Amino acid sequence: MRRGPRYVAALRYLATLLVVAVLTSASSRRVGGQEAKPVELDSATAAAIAPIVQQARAANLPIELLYAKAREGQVQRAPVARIEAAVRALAARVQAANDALAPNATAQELGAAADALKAGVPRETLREMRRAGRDGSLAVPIGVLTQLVLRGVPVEKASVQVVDLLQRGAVANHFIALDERVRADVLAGKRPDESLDLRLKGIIPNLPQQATADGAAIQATTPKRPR
Amino acid sequence: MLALVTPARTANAQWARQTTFDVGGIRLTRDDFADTDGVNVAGLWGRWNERVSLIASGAITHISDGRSTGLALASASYTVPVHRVRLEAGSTATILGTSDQRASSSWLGFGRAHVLGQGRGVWLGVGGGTVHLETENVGASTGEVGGWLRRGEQRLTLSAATVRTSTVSTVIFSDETVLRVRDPVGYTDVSLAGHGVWRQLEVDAVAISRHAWKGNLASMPTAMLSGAWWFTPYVGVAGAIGRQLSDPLRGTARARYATVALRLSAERHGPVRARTTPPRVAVGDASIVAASADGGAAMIRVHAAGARTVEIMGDLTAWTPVALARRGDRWEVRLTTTPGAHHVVVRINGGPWAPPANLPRVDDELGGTVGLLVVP
Repeated sequence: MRRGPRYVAALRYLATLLVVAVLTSASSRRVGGQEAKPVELDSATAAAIAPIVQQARAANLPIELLYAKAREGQVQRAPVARIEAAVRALAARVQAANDALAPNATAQELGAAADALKAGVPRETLREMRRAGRDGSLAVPIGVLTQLVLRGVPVEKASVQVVDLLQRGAVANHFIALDERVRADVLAGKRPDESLDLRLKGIIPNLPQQATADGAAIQATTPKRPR
Repeated sequence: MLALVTPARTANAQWARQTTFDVGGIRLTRDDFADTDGVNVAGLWGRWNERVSLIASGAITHISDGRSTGLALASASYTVPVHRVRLEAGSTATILGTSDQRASSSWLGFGRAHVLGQGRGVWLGVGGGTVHLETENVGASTGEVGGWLRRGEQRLTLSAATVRTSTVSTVIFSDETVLRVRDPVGYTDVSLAGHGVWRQLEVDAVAISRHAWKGNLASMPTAMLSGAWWFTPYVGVAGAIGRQLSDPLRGTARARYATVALRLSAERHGPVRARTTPPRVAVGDASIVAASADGGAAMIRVHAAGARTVEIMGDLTAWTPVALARRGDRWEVRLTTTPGAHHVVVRINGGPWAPPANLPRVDDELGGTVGLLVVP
């Protein structure tokens, strides 16, 4: 029997809703060893972001980032149009981050990089971080770079120093400690860029590698990205 | 209806309950006899949770001409949740007796499908049963559809209920022959009901438009207003005024009424006053840190001096509020999450959600700001 275009459109719509429901259910997180109850997307929000999700999936981007943003908007009772705009803007940043961190960026790296780009970090910095970090996960270093920029450290200075730390073999806890010390200094009234210079002097001597360290040593001290 | 089964008031972890007892006066005006005054005693007993609902109520009125009327109602239902749908089945029984007439009674079974949203819901239901009037048993069937909205303690319900049954009238001939005449009736009541609670004041208002499409019942609108003022958490003054429509299912007649009563409650009502003034703690005073834990988890710790409750919400909780547990002078929760940057907000003592003071703030592009937390 010949099916009309409205029948096909209805089938596509139902298929989209089914995919959205399955993905929303699958993206639940665990709290205290138990499944946290996921916040479901209402039908209007799900339908509004469905085309964006389809594009992201076609581009092999992690769509859970987009659903998380939609859920955030829904929880905050933002209008659907605003949620759609926020998800679309995030998808564009994730795409840009994916290009910069190619070829095998993780969802965590792309989420952090999307924030970094929004804070003004250049794409070139992300590429340099990928080269400097080699196979190590960049989720934490990129996150701390974003924090430093948001705390007032000039983006060029923060970018150079974070890339340098990666080349020297800094690991996640080094970056976390750096941000915490800069935060305390800024709270005490010190200029953010001066604080960064000061705190780097305390961290660099304790790093396991210098810039000339071989790749094997770097791989042994940095977390591996999941394959 | 499920809209009324709101786990507010005295809800504990399992059961919500409501138990009240009224003693007061009533002024009643029926179409078939003059105004009468009387004494009214009424009680309500309700227990419900997500699946079971048990409600019983009764009232006895003794009016000035010496006659008395008693009405009792009992309802029980069981609800099965299926995702966002609640399938409810139950039954309702009533009995009405007066000192100079035969008692009438009814039994109705019902089934309803509720679809619940966040602060709103709709339902569709059908029912059927038997009504015993005079010495006759007549069948009854019902259909209903409705929706409700809830914002805090305020609730609005719009519904339509269709009833098909029969009324029974008695004709006594001169030779004392008694003839019971059944008159089939059908009508639809469209009602808009509002319920609100403002501190010690509770108000219920109902407007009904009846459309009778079969039989001798009149199509007409009506309205009822009732309220209670709790001058102590367990004792209040209740009043009601309005006009009730005739109810063939329960045997009650159309009448105007006004009541005032002293209401006693077994559960606490009105705002709960703290015994001591809690310390004012703003989110701006809270700081948050994340540390890696075993098993791919992160331990989230919040320092908020003087806090009574601390909650966190963000992409690492799928934007669902999660309460932190007190550990000495700090609060913590273990979350299974991934290293990297996460957006979070926290809430102290049930106040507003806001980024912790020690985190840089990020425009969320949704009209607010969130904190950027890096989990190692």
